[in-house]
Amino acid sequence: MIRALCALVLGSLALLIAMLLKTEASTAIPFSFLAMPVLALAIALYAYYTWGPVRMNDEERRLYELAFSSLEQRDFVRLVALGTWQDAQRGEKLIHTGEHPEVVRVLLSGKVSLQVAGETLGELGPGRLVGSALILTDEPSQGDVIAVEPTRVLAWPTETLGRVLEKKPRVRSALQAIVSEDLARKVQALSSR
Amino acid sequence: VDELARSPLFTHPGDLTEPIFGVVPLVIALVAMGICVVGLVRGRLAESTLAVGIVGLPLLAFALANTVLLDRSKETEFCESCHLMVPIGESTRADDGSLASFHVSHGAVPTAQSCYGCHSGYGMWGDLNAKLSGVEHMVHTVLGSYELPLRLYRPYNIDSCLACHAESKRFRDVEVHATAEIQEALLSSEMSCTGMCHPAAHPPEALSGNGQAR
Repeated sequence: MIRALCALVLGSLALLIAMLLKTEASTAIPFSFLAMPVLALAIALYAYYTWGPVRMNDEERRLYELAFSSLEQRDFVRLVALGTWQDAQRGEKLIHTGEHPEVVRVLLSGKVSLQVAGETLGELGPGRLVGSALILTDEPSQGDVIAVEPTRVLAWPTETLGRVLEKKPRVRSALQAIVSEDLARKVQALSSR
Repeated sequence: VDELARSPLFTHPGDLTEPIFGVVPLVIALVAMGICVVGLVRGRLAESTLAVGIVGLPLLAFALANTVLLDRSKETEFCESCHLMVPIGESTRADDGSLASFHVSHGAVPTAQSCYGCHSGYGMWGDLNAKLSGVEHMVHTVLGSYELPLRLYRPYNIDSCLACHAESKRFRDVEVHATAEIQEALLSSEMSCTGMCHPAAHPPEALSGNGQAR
């Protein structure tokens, strides 16, 4: 979307410059009939992108309701656009022991288990975050995170996420609250074992 | 002769402020283009940068440029950049006895804006109508839908003549101008200044494109 907007505005500005450098019929015609309508189209697209209705597909809506309902829908959709949907088969390892994960994942469906030295410490289901604690502590994983059934996740590269959140304090604080709640639930689950 | 034509007293003073107004939108457009290139390459921009680069600066550049361009489009040179207008422009400077050339050769309209001087109508709406007619001209040029000999879209509005002549003594002293029937016929466009009393505005061969059509 942003690339399309930039390309449209770039084209219309190029015609504007051509018209400024050489004001004659050969530039006035494309300027009047192309540059101005194209700029108007780009601005209309921008307005739609910024203020228009938010559209989510079924997966996005489900994930939003599961874990991110405290975010504004538009912020959530933009956040989703930064991530990649991934599927893990049963038995597939999402995080290995000793690994410094570079992505944080959230489960849309399926289930994963945390295993340390062959012992299952707990299981995480839809709406739960995977790898967030390791990223916060910057420590290597002490166990494996393994899909115990076919699992679909949305994965964000932490570097990209961090860079974007740095510029969006409102989204950052909402996400911090989500991560804190997720951590509290994990601690509670562990302590109740 | 050329040297004499270029001497200071024979050179139009021009608009000294215009080049500055032309540079400002150019610079703004270049800054906006820089932002767009970054957005195009990276595929993302901060919200505020996007608003400035996609909306703010381009709108400002277009607004400032349009004031300059609308002014430049008053120039006869601009009108003559359409090949169909070249014979008409040349005839106005040829002192060929047509009403337009008479006005140009006598300095009654500025040579650099002679088309606009007579075809823009009078007052603010005259300017606006001239620009709208310009757009109409461009549509016909693009579509090739014009017919020769060229004709006015509608009867010539003599307000453009009266803006200069109405209060001139020479004009008022002409007996026929004071006749009620003639005044009524002229103001209702039933009659034109040209044809019967005054020579045609442009020679027919110039209006036929002098063989340069299409």
